[in-house]
Amino acid sequence: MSAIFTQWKNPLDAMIRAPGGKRIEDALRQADANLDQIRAPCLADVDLQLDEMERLSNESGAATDDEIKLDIYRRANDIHAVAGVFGLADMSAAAFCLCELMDRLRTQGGWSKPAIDVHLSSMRLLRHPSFEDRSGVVEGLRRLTDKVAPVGAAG
Amino acid sequence: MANLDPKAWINFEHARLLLLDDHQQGASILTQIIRAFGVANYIPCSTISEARQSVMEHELHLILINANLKEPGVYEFINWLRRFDQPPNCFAPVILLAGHTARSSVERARDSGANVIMAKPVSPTSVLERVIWAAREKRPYVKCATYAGPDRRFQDLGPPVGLPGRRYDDAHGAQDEPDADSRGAVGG
Repeated sequence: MSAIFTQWKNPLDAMIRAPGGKRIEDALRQADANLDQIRAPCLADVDLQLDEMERLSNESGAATDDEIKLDIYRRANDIHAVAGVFGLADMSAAAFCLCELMDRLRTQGGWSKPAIDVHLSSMRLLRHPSFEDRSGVVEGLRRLTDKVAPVGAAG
Repeated sequence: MANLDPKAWINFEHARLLLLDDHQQGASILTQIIRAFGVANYIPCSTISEARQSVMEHELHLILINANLKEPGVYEFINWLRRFDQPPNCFAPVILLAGHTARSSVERARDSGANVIMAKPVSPTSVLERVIWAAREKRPYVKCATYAGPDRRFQDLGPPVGLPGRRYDDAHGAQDEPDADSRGAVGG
C-alpha cells in the first residue's frame, strides 16, 4: 500500500485566533481557581487509593497474581496523575516509582511485598507537606526498584 | 508560561472538544482546565464506545485522551479515528495524556497516530501550550498500511549526506512525484 499524504488545515487554529475570548493570563488564573475547588475531593480520592493499595498488599501475602499487580499499578498511576496537579510533586514522583516497580514485577513475574510497602509508606509521608526531610526519598525508591527488579531480569 | 504570551487572547467559543477519560478525578481536572480556557462545548466520554459514537455524530476540533484507560483499546481507538474516512474528525488533533506507560505499550503509544503525547501530571499552562501547539502544527497526515496519523518526521533535514533522497518531499534529491489525491503518494 502506498503512503497517502494529506495536508490539512486545522480549523481550531483560526477559532482560537478569532476575536473575542479571554486573555491567557485570565484563563490560567481561572483554571487555578477551578482546580482549587476540586482539590479536596481529589486528594480524598488519593488517600482512598493509598488505603486500597495497602489493603491489596496486605491481603496478597506472597501472591503473584497479575490482577493484583495491575490493580496496584493502575491506582499508583492515578495518584501520580492527580497528586502532582495539587502541589504534591514528590508524592506524584513516588507513585510513578511504584508504577515502574509494578510494571517490572509484572513483566518478570515477580513479587516483593517489602518493596511495595516501602513505596506506600513513602507516599504516605510525602502526602503531608509538613514532612520536611523529603530530599532523597524518591531517589531511594528508584534505587530500591533497580535492586528488587532490575531491568532485563529474567522472568 | 515559557511559550505563552500572558497578554495574548484565546477564543475557544466555537471549538468542540472530546474528552475520553474513565478516571473521575482525572476527567474532572481536565474539565476544570478547559472550562477556564473558555471551552463551552465539550463531550465527556468514559468509554471507547461512547467516544466512537461521538466521533460519528459530531464535528470535533480537538480530542484529549487519557492513555491509561482501564479499558483496553485506547491506541486502537486512535488508529480507528485516523482511518475513519470522514474529515474533519479523522484529522482532529489528538493529545494523549500519559502517566506511567508500561514497557509493552511505549511503541504503541508512539505509533498510535496522536499528535502530542503529554506527560502527566498536567498543569493549566502545559495543557494550553500543547493545545495551541497541536492547533497550529502543519505536519501532513500520513496513511499507509502500518501507520495513520501526523507525519512523524518533525524536521525535514533531508537524506543522509552524500545520499539521494528516497521520498518526493525530501529536502534534496527528490525522485518521486506526488500522484495521490491531496499531496501525494509514495511507494511504501
